[in-house]
Amino acid sequence: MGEWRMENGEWNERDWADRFTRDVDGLLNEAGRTDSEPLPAEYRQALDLARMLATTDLSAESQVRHTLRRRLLNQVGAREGWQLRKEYVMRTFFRQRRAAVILAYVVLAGLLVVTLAWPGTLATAAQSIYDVIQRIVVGPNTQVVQIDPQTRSEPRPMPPDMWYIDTEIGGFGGNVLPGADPTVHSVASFEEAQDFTSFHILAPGYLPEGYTLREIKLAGDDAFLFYGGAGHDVILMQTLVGPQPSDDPNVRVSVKVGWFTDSPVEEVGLEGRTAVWLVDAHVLTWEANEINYNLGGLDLTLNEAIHITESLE
Amino acid sequence: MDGTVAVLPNEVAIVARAMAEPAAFAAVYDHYFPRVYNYVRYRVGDAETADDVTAQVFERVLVNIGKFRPERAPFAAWLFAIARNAVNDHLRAQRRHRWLSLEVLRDRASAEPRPEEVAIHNETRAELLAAVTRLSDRERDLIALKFAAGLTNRHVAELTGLGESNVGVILYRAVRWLRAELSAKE
Repeated sequence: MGEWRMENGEWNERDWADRFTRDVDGLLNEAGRTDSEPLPAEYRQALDLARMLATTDLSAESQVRHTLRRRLLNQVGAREGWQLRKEYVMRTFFRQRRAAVILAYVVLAGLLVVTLAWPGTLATAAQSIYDVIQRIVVGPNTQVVQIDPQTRSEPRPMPPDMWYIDTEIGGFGGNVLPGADPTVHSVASFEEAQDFTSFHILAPGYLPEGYTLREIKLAGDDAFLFYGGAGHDVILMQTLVGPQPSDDPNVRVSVKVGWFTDSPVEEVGLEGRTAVWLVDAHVLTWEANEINYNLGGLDLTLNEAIHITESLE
Repeated sequence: MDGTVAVLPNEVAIVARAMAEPAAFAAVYDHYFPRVYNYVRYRVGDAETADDVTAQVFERVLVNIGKFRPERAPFAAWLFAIARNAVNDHLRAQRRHRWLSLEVLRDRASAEPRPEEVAIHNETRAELLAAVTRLSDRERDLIALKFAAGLTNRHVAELTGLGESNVGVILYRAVRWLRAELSAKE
């Protein structure tokens, strides 16, 4: 500190300002360093005030800190995966039989893979074409987006090499990862179905009276369970989501599921999780343990759907 | 010193992931919220406006964080450029609005039914804040960039277009003026 020693009090303002800058940076970085060197009282008082300015935290008075945090993180969660610019995209289309158009998509993100299955992504397209009314983050890998029906456009035609599964609530189609088998398999038992999926398929312990398992269809890592009875089918779809193994150490693969709907949606608490009831589609969607579940049926009510959901094992 | 105090550990990597990973964005938010809020509060004066502008800052950060280039400037310098622009936009829109007076700030602090020690602390803080709001816009900006944002004079100079040495002199004068103001109130 010798270079800063006063000589007969002849420092000018700029000299003191330079010293002040150094001392302030010192106290900002060293949490209030004190200097034993004798200094003019006025200068010491200025340093004391600088310390006070640096340590005064007014942020406890903020009324928005936590709500803003929650809102922003929801936005980040909603864009997670969908905002990865360079990626391979796997799309799953859902065509509802009735007026409302609902699309589901699955994104496989390879961070360093530039190859695109098609120009653009369904997610990007949807976000740019539609006006979003609300976006609900259902889980780390699942979101529901309600769009303005005035701004929706017809879904693009599906490419011919996709798998397709027809159900009473609509038709699902999609592509698979490069090298994966796009064939739709149909089996009659859980034991057989389990051979096709890398996750444990859950079955409901409760179903409407008279309903039994009729068929399980499998495409990629999607399982469609069809339960038949006196009325319309009850359909339970299960999809593996989240980070997936990758053969390439430079590629990160992750599966995301999203619904775009122009019909009303209702947020529902489900055993401590967030679920969403797609009102017109009669579909309840939620995520648990990196599986996206969709339970639907034209006769299904929300209460009935929750009852079935709570019985899954 | 890289241009700021209290850098978030692994800041560059965390910021790179913050665009798409909630946990990474949460780390950035939690680390910088107090500094951004304090910066904005020093500049606009009242808490309600500070909340509004701080929210705008982080919304802009979320939209633009993918454009941050660590080779150009420390994250804090980039962040406070956004904060400064948001405050300037707000002040331009509210040019005719007069900020809270010292009396209002005192009323707010003294009206809170808290222990005496806390009340004294609040009053001191309110007086400091009130004194800061009586500085010129430029001095207030520099005080906020230096002490709330924690930037070096070099980065303050880059943001404001002033010379680095000039920043030091203005800051020194402003702090001495604040000291004199607060002493006169004691």
